[in-house]
Amino acid sequence: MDIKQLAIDLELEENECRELLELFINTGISDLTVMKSAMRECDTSLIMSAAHSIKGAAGNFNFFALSSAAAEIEANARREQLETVRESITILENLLNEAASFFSIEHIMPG
Amino acid sequence: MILKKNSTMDVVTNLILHELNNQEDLKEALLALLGQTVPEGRFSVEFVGDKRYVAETGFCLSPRSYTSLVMRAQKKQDFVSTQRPDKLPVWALSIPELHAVLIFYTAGRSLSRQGRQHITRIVKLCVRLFLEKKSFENEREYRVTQKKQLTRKFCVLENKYQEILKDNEREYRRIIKNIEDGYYEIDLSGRLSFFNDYLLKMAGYSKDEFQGMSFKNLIEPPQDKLAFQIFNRVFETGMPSTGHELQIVRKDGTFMYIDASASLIHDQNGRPVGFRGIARDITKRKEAEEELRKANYELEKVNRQLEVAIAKANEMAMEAAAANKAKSEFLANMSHEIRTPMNAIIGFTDMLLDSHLDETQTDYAGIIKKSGESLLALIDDILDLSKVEARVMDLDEVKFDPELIAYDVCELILPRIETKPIELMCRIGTNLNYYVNGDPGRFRQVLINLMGNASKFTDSGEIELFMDIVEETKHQVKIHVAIKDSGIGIPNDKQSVIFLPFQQCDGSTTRKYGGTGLGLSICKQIASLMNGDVWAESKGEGRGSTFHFVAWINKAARKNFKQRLPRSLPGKQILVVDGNATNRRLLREIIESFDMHIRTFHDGTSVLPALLDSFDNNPFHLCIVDLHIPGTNGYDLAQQIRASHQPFSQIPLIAMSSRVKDNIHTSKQFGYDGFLSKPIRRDKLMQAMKVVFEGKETSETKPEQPLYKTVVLPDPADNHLTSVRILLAEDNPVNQKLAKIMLTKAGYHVEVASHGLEAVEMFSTAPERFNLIFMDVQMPEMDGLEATRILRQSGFHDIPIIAMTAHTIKGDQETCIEVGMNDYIAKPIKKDVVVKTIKKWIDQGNRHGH
Repeated sequence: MDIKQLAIDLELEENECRELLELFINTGISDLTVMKSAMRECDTSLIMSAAHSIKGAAGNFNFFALSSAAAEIEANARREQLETVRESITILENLLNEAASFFSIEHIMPG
Repeated sequence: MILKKNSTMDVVTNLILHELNNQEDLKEALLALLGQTVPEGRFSVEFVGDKRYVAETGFCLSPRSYTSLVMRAQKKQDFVSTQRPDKLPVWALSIPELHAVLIFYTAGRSLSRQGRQHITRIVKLCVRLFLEKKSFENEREYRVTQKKQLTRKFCVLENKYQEILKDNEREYRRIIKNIEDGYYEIDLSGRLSFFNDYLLKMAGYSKDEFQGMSFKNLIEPPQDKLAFQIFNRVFETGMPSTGHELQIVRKDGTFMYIDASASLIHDQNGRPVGFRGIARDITKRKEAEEELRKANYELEKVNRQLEVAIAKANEMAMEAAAANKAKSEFLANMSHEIRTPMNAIIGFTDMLLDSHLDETQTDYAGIIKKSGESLLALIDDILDLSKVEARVMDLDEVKFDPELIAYDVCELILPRIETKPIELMCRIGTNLNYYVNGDPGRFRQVLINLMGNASKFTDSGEIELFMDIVEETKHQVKIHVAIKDSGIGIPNDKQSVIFLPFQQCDGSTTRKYGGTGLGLSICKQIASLMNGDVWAESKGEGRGSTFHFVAWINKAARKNFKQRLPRSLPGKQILVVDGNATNRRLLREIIESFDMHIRTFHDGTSVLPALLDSFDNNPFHLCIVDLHIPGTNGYDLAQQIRASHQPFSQIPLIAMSSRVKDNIHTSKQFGYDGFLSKPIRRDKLMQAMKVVFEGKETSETKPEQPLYKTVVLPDPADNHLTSVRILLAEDNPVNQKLAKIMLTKAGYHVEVASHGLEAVEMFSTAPERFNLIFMDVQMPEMDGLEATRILRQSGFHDIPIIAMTAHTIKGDQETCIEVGMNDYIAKPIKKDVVVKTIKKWIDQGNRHGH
């Protein structure tokens, strides 16, 4: 899949699609940052809302891996299984990075 | 001697008789011959005739006997005889050849019978001999004469022939001399024996030099061999040969080309003695041919160069196309790169403006926002232009109502002229009776651009948008939009320039009014994509301008406005008060098209008397009043009517205003039943009047029932296409953006709220602005369920609220319905699902009387 195909699938212009992807990656990273800091605070509701956000956004692009990783985080956070959440966050982060580099989207990944 | 034939003898005799004509000579010659041969004989010759003959003395015959003898001989044609008295026989022999008779006897002796026979035989032989001899001589003479004559004749003929020959030769030479071709004769050794002047002129030699010259001197190798072969072939075959192109050398060393022929010359005996022929100068032809060949060569060369150039041009064109595409892509990317941070700048500036700033800071932040917005607009323009140039701008094929777009654009422009004394009008022609299949976004873009210009360049007066169908085919309509303003106008020489990219009237325009000069260029390109055009008309500077836009668009369904005309309208009397004459005319057009009667007033002073005067006979059923009429304003007028204590004091009143601050709430306080924002829309006016009349009729018990709520709702039958306004409550920026793009592309207006609370605030403030809400369920601040609950509790029962949920938990959907949502769609958002749902609820709303 490339941006062109994705744009066709979503009935968007290519530039609109790119803009949307950038927004997705950047808000995703922002949500990831929120999740990480919420992990430190053990704030499960914040983790859930951030994961929910990523899940919903990823679903738009049919990014199933991302979407299900986020869904997993949301579910495990609800069950307060933070260790599993931590692992999932790492997976999610990798997936986001992969998506960014696949679509050549520049972003600043917080450390 | 062999005797000749009788015929010859006759000829001879005749000749003798005729030519010699000397009988005496003949007689003497015959007698001489006989005397010599027969010396003893005595001979006499009598030429016959009708006479009497007298014998010579020696014959001793009487004349009678003598004559008788002659006559008998003549008759018998042979010897006859008689006797003399002395008994000597006298013989007579006829000589017919001489017309004579020979008479003789032999003297001195008596002859025996044998002797007599012998002598007559001798005499006869002598006569024959004589005759033969004579004839021979004569014939010889005749032959000689004949020969002489023939020779003479021959000489004459020969002379004549020679003369003719000479004449012919002279004529021949004269012709040859005068012909405009070279003529030559050469002997068998190849030396020139004869030639004409023209050949001399051609070769550049004198006659003396030329005479006897070998043809080889004139033709250089290897052509001399060719010439030799030609002569050789002519010699061998005897057949003339033509059409040989040879190059010969003139005396001065220059070359010339000849077309030569050769044929054999024979002598009198038919022996070949040389050649003759024509040498035609074809130098000019050859030069022309050569030039042609050179030209052809040059042409071929040029063609080859051209082919190379074309190939190169194609290559360059491809490169240029690639470069252009790259440029467009670059622009698109750049636009995007710029847009992203610009959105942040504008967004944060908005937030900054909402924070506590002092006056200067507010000014600065305002400038930043305004500049940011200008920059964004510029980027959008550049992006559009690059799309058009890169041929990637495709037109959508969506069903829409152009009339609604006209109204929407007018409404959109309204805030821009809020501060200026400008009357904005939207007039729809009576032929505009089709929905169309086209690109509503691009159609709207052109209208917004042209209306934007009109609002920008007009400080006071009027702006009118007129739209109609001016031409129609089986499948398409030609829509004409004319946007007329009373603004600064355009100088004649600039009327076409302004459509070029980055061109405005002049630099001062840019400085004073801003803008990039891309808008009209884009409009022109879009119009061109729609097989139409955009052009401007202006009577000159300061005299306003009219911009025309025509587009061919595919027909969709037919729109029968009259069919939807409420039955309560026709025949009613309407009173209209408006200070603007054009607006009055427009309202008259619309109201009369509803089969209603209208009377217009330009101010409020005559309204009450008119209401009073007409009440008994032909009362008015409705007053439509512009709130900003000159003199008594619309608010005062409504109060006066309501407070008049006259029978008409409860007449329905509808307020009109183009000012944003005027609305149903304010006008209601002054006694109005309805409110219409200007520019007046035909559909909204119809709907408002329907509600006034039908609402009044059905709610006699509750005359105070407010009418505005339904009045302000647009007619969903028309509006689900382009005029549906959607409030989208969604916190996730990605979902927000995607939904907004999708809905906007589908032709809907979308306003976004980032959480439930914001959605409640936005809707409550201006419920008339929205026809439908898409509500995300899970949102910060206030979730979608809570927001819905509040809205329903606030009395907003009619607005369709559609849940957007990613929840998969069983029961979520039921919860949504429980809190008052009408429907739900599952995330991720799919365009067809969204559009289907909108149509479902807008149409249902219509059936339910929204």
